[in-house]
Amino acid sequence: MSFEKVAFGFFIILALTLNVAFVSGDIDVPAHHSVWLLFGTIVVNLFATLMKLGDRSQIGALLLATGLVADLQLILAASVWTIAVYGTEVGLTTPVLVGVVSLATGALVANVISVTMLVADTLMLRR
Amino acid sequence: MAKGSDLDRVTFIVLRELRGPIFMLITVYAIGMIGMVLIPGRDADGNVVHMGFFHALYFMAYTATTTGFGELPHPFTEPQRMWSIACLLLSVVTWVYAIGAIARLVGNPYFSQALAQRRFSNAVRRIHEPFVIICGYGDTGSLLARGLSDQRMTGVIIDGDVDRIKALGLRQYAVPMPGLCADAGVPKNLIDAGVDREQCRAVVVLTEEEVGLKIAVVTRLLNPAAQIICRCPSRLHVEELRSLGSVIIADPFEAYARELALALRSPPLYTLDEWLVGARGASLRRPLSCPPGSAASKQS
Repeated sequence: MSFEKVAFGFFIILALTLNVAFVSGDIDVPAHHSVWLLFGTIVVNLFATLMKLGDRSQIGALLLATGLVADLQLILAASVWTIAVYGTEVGLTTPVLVGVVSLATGALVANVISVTMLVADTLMLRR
Repeated sequence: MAKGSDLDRVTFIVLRELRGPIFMLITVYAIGMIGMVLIPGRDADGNVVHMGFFHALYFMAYTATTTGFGELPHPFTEPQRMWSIACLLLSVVTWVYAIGAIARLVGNPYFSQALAQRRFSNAVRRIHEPFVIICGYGDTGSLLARGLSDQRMTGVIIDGDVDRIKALGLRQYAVPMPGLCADAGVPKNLIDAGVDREQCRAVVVLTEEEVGLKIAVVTRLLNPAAQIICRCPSRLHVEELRSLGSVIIADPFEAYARELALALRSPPLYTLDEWLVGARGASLRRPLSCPPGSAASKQS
């Protein structure tokens, strides 16, 4: 067991759990989707992507790719939110919120893939 | 693995090294933003308002880069100003550290070596005329390169000495002469030099015998059509080189001995020979004559 491995697993799993925490709830109820959770998800996802950087193995490349997908979707979600509230006069209406949460749900899928790969890889090592 | 995997490998190492600075940058930005969002501010009417994440990011963006647009969107309260000082100090120091780390990595010797190798193999790939590979850029190598340049023929040069490759960059040749500082005995470097291409007419080996033997074997295997010309002063290696087939072997000691013998036995013939194989425009010299009383003069 090494500290780096713990940190690696920690950030990847935290990215998934925070993402779930943001997405869960009714898709069109603003009270169910805290902006803090979105912020936290983005930051932790960026950390997770950084941890995946620099692994040349095939699985490392795929992990990095899923991380980049999640980052892209989450940053898009935050951008949609920001542009709707500050950039235009639209405000946080139901269609905007649905769009944001949908994008974050897409990122959630990428995070699920990366955690699955991490767990599968670890279980294979066991044998 | 594909060509250029060396650069890929080094790039990955560089990216790994970059994780630290980027990690710190994200952390500092996140902490600064959280602080700005949490600390209550006041708008123009004196109502308590919290900064949004967008404005917090905006604030960090112009503070961390020391741009300093001012107190936006509303004039700051005193606690916000205190936090601004902390944000500014932390983020500017982190940026300075990150830029320093990035600059250090760009100057990484392995990284620049991998870049040089990539540039070299690209330069070789752009050559579409017949060319000659010269392994070893010493006195003979540079004379040969000069001769090739006079004939408008491209040479590709590999030498293990950094200074020699630097010197190559300072020479004025009529044709491009890409040079690489590397061990020519390593097959990968020879492939980068284009040994397996059909335009490669000959490989001239001017290195030590051990390395030269390796180069000759690699060349024979990768490109049977290329002519191998080998400078080889050692009898032992001459036998091994002969076993490779049509290798032109030049033994400098033997060549010198033959010339000396010719000069002693028949000075006029030697002078004629020197004139014929000499540089363009050389004039015929007077035959050598031995000092009277010496063994050679008595013989003739």
